[in-house]
Amino acid sequence: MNPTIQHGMHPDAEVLTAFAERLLSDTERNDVLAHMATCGRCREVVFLAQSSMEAEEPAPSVTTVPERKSSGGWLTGWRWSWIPVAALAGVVGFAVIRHVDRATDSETRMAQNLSPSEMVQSTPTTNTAATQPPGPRPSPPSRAESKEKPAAHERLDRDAELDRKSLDERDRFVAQKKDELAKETLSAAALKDSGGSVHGTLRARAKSSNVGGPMAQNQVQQQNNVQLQQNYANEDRQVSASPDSANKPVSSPIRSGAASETVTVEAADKAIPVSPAPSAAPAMTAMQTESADISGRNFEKRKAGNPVLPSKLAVSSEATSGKRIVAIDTAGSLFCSEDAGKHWAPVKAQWSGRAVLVKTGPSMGAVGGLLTQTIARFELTTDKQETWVSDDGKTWTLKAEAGK
Amino acid sequence: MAYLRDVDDLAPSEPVDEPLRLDFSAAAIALEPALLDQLWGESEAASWGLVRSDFDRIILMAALRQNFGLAPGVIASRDEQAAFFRGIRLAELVLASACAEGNERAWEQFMAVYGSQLTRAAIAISGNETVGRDLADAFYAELYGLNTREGKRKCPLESYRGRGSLIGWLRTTLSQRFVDHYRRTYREKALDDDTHDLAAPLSSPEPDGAIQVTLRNAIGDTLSSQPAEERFVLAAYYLDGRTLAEIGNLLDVHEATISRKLKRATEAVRKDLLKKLEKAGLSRRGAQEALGTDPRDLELGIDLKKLLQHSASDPFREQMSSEPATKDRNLTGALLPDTTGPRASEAGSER
Repeated sequence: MNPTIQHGMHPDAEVLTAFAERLLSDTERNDVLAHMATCGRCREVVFLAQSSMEAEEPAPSVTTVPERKSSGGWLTGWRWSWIPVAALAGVVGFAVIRHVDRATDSETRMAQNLSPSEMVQSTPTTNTAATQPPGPRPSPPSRAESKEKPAAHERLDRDAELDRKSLDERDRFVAQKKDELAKETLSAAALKDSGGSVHGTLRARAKSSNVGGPMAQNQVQQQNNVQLQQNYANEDRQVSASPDSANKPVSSPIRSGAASETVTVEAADKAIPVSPAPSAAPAMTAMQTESADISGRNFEKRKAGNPVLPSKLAVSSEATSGKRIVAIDTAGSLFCSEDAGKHWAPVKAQWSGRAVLVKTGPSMGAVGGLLTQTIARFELTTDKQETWVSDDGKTWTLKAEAGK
Repeated sequence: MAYLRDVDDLAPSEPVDEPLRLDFSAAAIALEPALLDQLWGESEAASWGLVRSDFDRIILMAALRQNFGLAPGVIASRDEQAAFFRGIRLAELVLASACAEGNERAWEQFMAVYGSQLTRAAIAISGNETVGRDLADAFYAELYGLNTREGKRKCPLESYRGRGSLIGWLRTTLSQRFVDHYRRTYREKALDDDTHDLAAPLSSPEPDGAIQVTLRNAIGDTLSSQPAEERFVLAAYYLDGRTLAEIGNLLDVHEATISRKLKRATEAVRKDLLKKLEKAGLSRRGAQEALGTDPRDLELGIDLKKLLQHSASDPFREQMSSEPATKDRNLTGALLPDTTGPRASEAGSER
């Protein structure tokens, strides 16, 4: 033991300093500790000297506490914090941009859903009834929007139900006759779209506007959009996200690949008879036709499918049998073409009132004792609920009512 | 030319090529001139005006007092001599020794280097600028050798041996002066101060009863069986009210380590105490009840203090007014069955 630390003696300042500066050997250190365990004076001396040293030199401390390590200023302390901060800022910025885009899309969708009259203005009434309206086109759906698919389905189903009820009441007399046509349209659409019964029904109703009307067309468009969300997920959204670009004539391959347009083309190619709602005003229909022309989407194809009548009015109803086509313009005049719409000839009205609807109806005949059904007769319906039939589209006779 | 030289011979001499020899108390110390030249260059004493002859004498005296760090009577080899001088603060030792001899150049250097540091250290130790400056002035006077003993000038710097830093030695010495002064003044003002009334409980009679005596003896035996560092930590924490950070800084360990040490020490002391009390004839329940007794009721706080230390440290507790939360600690309270020692969260809160 160091003589200065023997019993009854205090270690001198030299030893205590060496202890505080960790210069003692283990043996000497234990001796000093054993002394200080029983000597309050030496403990006080050592702690006071230590505190004065820390007050003089606050920075160097052997027992570094983690929170005291920062001695390079605030910038050094935040050096590694910039990485998560930058990442967070990027995420926030991305979320803001997405939010703005979604708000724009939502506004467009709201305008389409809540303002059907506006949609009627922008919806063509010819056989392009199922085509997309030329107004602001909904942007290609994103991944985030695809998550809202169930909610969109619910909303579409609800709106379609309401639309269906109201239109069915108004067009009660046409609905039953159009069911068969709708089924045919549905089966045709099912070739392209395996989207389910709801899609098919709405699509058929949209094509037969007598049943579904413009609202059903809108529903079909929206459902097609929802269906296309996954296809558009990796596409460039700027083309259609901007309202300006949506209003321009579109020649983008993205747009030409839209399913809604594909359905329209199929309908035109197959010449499925599509009639507008009877209640549509001629002026409105003319405006819709102009809008459809302005949109320029598949203009050539639609031009071939749209017969140009001598009256220069749009076709409100049309029926085809072979190369023979019978069409009613929006003024109620009937025209007939025998060369698949290349040349038209007006048909003198042989009925009273105004022709509203023309279609091809079944013609019954007995062959060999069997009842056969052929589609060769045109049927014309007037606003007085009279049905006239014709085999060539030119000579019409009043159809005898059942039971009369 | 070899020559003998007395330690009191202050006659200046030029460095020589022959080994410098010094006969003192029948022990001859010889230093190689090459080693002296090397030490002279390393000390940089010439920069503040020390002459070579004074340097040689100071070196010889330091080597003579410590015998190169070897046992008395052992002759140090040249390598041991060199190792000794490289292991000490040579430049600071030369400066302190020159100051102790009254070298004016050395004092100028000393005041230039350590003057302001010493004043700040005194203020930090006393916790008061006025008291700190007075303490520093008094210490300067003492260092300068104004105090005499038996007609001889007495300078504390003579006791500096260069083992630690000179500023550390100065701080420690200053702390000693402050502690001694405080203890003297505390005792002097006890008669006409309010603390006089507080002294009454301290002089209360010893606890009587077999249980108290048994408990006191058991505590003494248990604490003495603990390692020195654990006992120091227990005393510093429970008696002096030091924080975990202060203890950790002094022992060069993290405060969390001190916390664990304290917890282990209190648990070990408690277990050992229970064993000793059971050996002394107490039942286990009686031993636990004895440990669970409020130490203030048993007045064992005083006994523990006496067991842990011989000199009371109560005056310093009052001095540490910046740590009021730690004043009420007592070791016996920490030994209660439900006590788990210092909490780790205290480490942060105490800062």
